[in-house]
Amino acid sequence: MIQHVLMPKLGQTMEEATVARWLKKEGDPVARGDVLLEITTDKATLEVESYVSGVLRKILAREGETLPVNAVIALVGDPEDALPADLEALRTPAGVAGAPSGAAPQAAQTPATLMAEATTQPAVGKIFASPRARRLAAEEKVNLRLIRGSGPGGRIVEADVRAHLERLRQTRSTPAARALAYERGVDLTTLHAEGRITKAQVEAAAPGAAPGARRVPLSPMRRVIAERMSRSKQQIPHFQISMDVEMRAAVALRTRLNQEGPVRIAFHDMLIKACAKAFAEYPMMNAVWDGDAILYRSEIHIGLAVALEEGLTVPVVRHADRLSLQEIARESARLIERARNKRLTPDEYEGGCFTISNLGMFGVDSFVPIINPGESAILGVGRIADRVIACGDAICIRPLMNLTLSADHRALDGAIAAKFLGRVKALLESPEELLK
Amino acid sequence: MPEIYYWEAIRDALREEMRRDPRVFVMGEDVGIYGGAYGATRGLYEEFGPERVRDTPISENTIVGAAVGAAMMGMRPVAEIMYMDFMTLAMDQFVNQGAKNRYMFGGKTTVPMVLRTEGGAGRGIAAQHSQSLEAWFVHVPGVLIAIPSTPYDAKGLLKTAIRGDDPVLFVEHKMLYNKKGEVPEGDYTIPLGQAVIRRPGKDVTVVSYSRMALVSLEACNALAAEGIEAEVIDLRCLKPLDIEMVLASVKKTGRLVLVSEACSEGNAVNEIAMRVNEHAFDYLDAPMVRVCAANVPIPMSPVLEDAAIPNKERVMAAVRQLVRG
Repeated sequence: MIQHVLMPKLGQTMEEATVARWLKKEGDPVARGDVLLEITTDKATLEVESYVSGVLRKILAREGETLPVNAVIALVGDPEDALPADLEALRTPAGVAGAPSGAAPQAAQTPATLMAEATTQPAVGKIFASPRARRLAAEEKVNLRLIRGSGPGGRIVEADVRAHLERLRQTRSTPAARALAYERGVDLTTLHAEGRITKAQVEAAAPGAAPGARRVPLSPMRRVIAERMSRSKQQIPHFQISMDVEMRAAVALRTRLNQEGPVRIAFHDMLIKACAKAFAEYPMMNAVWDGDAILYRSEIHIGLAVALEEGLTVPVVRHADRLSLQEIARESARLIERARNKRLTPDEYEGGCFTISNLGMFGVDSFVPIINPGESAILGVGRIADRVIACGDAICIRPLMNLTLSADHRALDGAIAAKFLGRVKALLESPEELLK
Repeated sequence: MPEIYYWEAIRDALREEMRRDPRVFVMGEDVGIYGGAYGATRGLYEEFGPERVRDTPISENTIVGAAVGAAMMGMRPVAEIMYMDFMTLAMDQFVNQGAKNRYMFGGKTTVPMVLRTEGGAGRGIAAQHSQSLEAWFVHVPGVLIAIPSTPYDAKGLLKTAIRGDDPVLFVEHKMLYNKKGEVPEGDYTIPLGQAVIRRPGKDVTVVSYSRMALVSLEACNALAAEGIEAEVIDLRCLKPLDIEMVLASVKKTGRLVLVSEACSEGNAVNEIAMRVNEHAFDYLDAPMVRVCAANVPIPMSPVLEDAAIPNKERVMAAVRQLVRG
C-alpha cells in the first residue's frame, strides 16, 4: 500500500517548512523511525522521521522547496505498488483526504508560489506566449524571455520554443551552465567557448553581473531572515530609546561569581536576568500588537540572538523570571550550543516576548536593532568600555555600556519603555539584586 | 459499395426498421401519399399503408405530443417536423414532456421516439425556413441529437436512434438530400456519440457537423496544396458529444477551428471551445477560432444568404490565418 509522508507540524505556529536535505533517496528501504529528511522552519532545522515502513517510492518535495503543513512530501510503499496518477495534486493539503481543514487556506497559495519560483524571470514585463508554448518551455526548462515570438502580435508559439531548443541542442554546455542559464535568463546560444560553455561564463554573462561577483542562492534561513526583517521594518512603527549603564559593579560581581562558582556567568545572562525582573515589574511591557487588539502575555520568555555562519537565530530562555542567574547561565549556554549545531526544537525558539541582541564583543558601542516579529521590543547591547564621565563635580573614568531599546509604538509608548529600560539600568548598576 | 442519395439512406433506414419491428411507424405533414417534402418517406405509404405511415394536419404540437404518448405506450414513432424552424410550435411537447418523462416518472416509462427534422440554409427560402436551431436542444438534458452529413451516417445513426429508448432529435440538412455517398446494403448501425475523422492532419483541428463538415473537408483538402495539414472531425452527434476525440486531436495539433452553419451567438460549438479550455488549455498554441453564421436572420437573397453563412473560402481563410498567423 502506498502511504503518504506529510509535512509535519512541529510547533504551534508552524505553518510551512522548507525541505533542507533528503537523507533517503527514492528506492531506499525505510523503517519506521528512520530519519527521512531535514526540514527548515523559520526557526530551525529539524529531522523528520518516517511513521511507516517500506520503500521510499517517490519524493514529491525537492530540496529548497517550501510546502505547507500536511502537504504530501513523499510516498512510501511496496516496490510493486502503483503510484497515483496525479502526483502534483497530492502536494497541496487539499488533495489529501482527512487533512486538517485549518491547513487548507495555506494550501491554496502553494501551487502559485511554486509556479512563480519555477518561472522566475530575469526582467519584468508580461510575456505573451501560448499555453502550449508555456507548457513546453516549462517542461524543457527554457526561459521564454529569450525567445522572440512569431505568432500574431509577437506571441510565442510552440514552434518558437522548438526552434530555440534546436539552437540550444547545437550549443555545447555543461549541465550546471544550462541550469544557471535558465535561472538567470542567459541565452546560451549567444556565448562562445572553445569546448563546453561553463557555469562561470554564464555567470559572467548574466544580467547585472559584476566582475568577480558571486551569486549565492538564498538558504532557507537567509530567506526567513529577509522576510521577517523586511516585514518588521515595513510594518512595525519602531521607536528607540537609549541609556548608558555604569557597569563597574556588574563587572565586579561577574568576576567574583565566576571565581567562586562552577557556572560561568556571561554578561548576557545578567542582561536576561535584569530584563526578566524588569518585565515582571512592568507587565504592560509584555504586550504584543494583534491586529485589532493588544495581547498582554503573563509568561516571561526572553530570547537571545545567536550569530551563526549563515545568519542568526534566537533561542528563548523560558520563564526567565523564575530562574536564578546560575540557572539562566546554564540554560543559555545549552541553548547557544544547540543553536550553533542547528539542533533547536520549536519549543526552544518559539514564544519569545523580547529579544536581547549583544554586539559588544565585536567592539560595537551602540546600535539600533530591528524588532523580531511576534514581539514588541528588542534590546541592542553595546560594548563595555571605559569612559570619562562626570561624578558629582569631579571627572572620573567608569566602564559604561550602551543599551538601545527598539519598541513597537502600536503596543508600547515612550514612557513605559523608558521606565522599563531605567529599571534594567538600575538593576545592572546595583547587580546584587540580580541574585535575589 | 453502392452509392445512394442521402434521402434514400433515410428511407432505407425507415423501411428496414419498419420491416424489422412492427412498433415502428412514421407520421408527419405530407409523409404519406406525397412521400415527404424532401422525399425521404417515398414508397413507405405504398408498402406499409395509412396505419403505419400517417399524414397529419399542420399541427406540430400535436404531431410531437402524439409521438411522445405513443412512445410511452410502447410504440416506436418516427415523427417528422418539416422544417426545424417549426420546432418552436412543438417545443413544450418535446422539451417538457418527451425529454423529461423518463426522469419525472423515475424510469417507470421511457420515450423511445425519433423526431426527424431538417435545418440549414442554401435554398433562398429566407429566415423562417433556413435556421440551424440545434443549439436550443443541446441545452435540454434528456434528448440526444444526431446530425449526420453523409448517407452512410444518416442510415446507421437513424437505425440506432429508432432502436434506442431515449428521444432523439434527428437533424437532416436540406442541401444534403441530393448528395450521394457509399452505403453498404443491409443492416448496420452507428453508435450515437462517436465522431469520425474525415481527414487526418497535424497542423490544426477543424471540428464541424452536418453540411459544414463537408464544406470543412473540401476547404482542408484544398489547403493541403498550400502545405497545411488539417485534421477534420465530423461530430455526427451533438449529444452525446465525442469530446474525447476533439481533445485528443487538439492535444496533437494545438489549434482548433470550429465550423457551424448556425449563428455564432450561443452556438453549439461554443460548448466545445469551453470543454477544450477546461481540459486542454495547456495544449493550445493559439486562441480557438469559430467560423459560424452571422448573427442575423438568414436573408432570402442568394448573395446575402451566402454572405451570412460559412463557405469553403471562409473556412480556408480562417484555417490559414490560424496556422500561418
